[in-house]
Amino acid sequence: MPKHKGISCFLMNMRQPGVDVRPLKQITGSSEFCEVFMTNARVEKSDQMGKLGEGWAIAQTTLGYERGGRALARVTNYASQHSRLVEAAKKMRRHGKPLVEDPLVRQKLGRIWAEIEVERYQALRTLTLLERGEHPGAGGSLTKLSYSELEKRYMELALEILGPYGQLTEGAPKEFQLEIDTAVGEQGSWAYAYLWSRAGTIYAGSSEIQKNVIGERILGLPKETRADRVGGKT
Amino acid sequence: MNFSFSDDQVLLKNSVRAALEEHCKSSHVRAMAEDGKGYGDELWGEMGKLGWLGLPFPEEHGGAGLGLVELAIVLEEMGRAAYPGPFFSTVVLGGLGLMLGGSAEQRDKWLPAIASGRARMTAALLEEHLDWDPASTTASATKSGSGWILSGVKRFVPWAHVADVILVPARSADGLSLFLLDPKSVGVTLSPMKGIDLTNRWSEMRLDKVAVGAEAIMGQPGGAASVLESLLRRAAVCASAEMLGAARRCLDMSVEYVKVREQFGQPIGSFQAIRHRCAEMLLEAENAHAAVYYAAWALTAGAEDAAVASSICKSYVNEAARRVCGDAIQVHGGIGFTWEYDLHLYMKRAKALEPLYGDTEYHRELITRHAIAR
Repeated sequence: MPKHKGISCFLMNMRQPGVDVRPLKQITGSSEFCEVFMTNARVEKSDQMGKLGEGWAIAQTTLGYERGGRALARVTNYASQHSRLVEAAKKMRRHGKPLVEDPLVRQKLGRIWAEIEVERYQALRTLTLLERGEHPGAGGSLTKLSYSELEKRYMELALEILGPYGQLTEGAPKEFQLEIDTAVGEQGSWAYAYLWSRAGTIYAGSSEIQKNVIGERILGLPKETRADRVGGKT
Repeated sequence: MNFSFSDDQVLLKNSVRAALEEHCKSSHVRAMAEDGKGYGDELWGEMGKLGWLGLPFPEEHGGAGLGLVELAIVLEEMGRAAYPGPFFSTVVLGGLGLMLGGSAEQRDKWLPAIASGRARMTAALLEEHLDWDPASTTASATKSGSGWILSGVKRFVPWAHVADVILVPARSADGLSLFLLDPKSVGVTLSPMKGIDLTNRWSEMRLDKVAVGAEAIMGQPGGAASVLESLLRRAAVCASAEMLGAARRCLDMSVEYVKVREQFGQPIGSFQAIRHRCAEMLLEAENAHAAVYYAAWALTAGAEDAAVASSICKSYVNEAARRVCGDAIQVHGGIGFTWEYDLHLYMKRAKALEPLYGDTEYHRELITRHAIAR
């Protein structure tokens, strides 16, 4: 693909004149990614990773691991959130009964628990693969699509059950708090986890990109006619 | 632990697929759909020779001594081929039922007969209210001399019309009990219940004061609940395996079709609207695969989460199969709605199994009970 040619990969010293890092404030209120401006910043020949022009392949490999990695840790996190959710549903009441006795709420809790467990089974399959020295490859796209879409459904359900408690960033009573750290090591809240769940289907290749990868590389479906590819053929 | 198939399991899968591709083409499936009995003796005999009919039974009973993972592999392939016949009812409902609750004499009598292809079985697990909880059983068993008198109505009994013996739950003075019934006994009336899946046969079974001997009871009077619960879990996972196979077939047919069907001068599989749907179908099939084989492994290994894993499996696969088979019809367009095209054979197989051995809501409630007690 012509547009992938000429890309090389470097390790760059961030502490030098000409490198300007501007954190981007996200909808969570925190900043986990940044804009990086480089104005005549320097890299040495020894900073080059791989060969000249091999940057695309290196980026793809990195993305493959980013998509497929730490799946079991993620599932453990989901499971402890589920326990907190069940505890909260025992404390809240609807129509004079604990919320956890409401059949609709029970159906939703059961459904999401099944989905979380299926993620765990899949993580065990991935581990078996890695243990045998195989790279997840395009299968990482299935993993990433699966967990990121699940996480959105999960957090919507959490906020449905918790009501306005789920939206609190301050002043939440202890029983309605989420005692899990955030990606940046701060005390987590349901509100943060809910907002953060919107990131998963965008970062490391959006769900739409993952579905293209799955369609083309796993199912072998024909590529769509895209302007950049049409240009490549002529 | 190793969560991929062993070499032997891959061999089994390949050999089952090859045998069914040879003996169970869609022409055979369609012929059996029109057949009075509904399945072919030739293929049944072949299945006996290949060792499928005794797959999970101990070797001393003519079986292969394999576990539920291997049984699920065979069943997935049967779902994939829409295999018409009493394999599930005989080996899963009958055979596993006997292994779980049968006396030594009962197992000695029936398991070798099943494994060799001589006997067919089924179980009558549903009554008119469709409650899967064994405790809901209303059919009655009254002591009469050394034997029993059975009365009641059972519905949706699979392959009862060809069964040599049927497992029948009934309530006696001691509580829920389980009986082995010869459907040719006086007072048994079978009438067909014809559904959309013509590769499957159901009967209503009326028991009007049917006399059975003392040897008909399985286990102790009043002691059937735990056997039935264990059997239901296995049936749920085995049915899920068939549904997975049916869904895989629908997915594979869709992927092949959208590569060749053209619209606006391009294969429709090149359009994101179609490609993304196919990617979602694959994800559902892969997750269903994980749910089926984890549960099959957990039940065989006696893992502590085996019970909840079987509920997770059935509830997940119910929805996944519905989605994959339904989307397959959608991406095919008009041809997918025709009788002549094979897609509906697999879609209907999955649909017929969806409400059986616990529907989605039944299993989700069990999952929540587990999660709350965690």
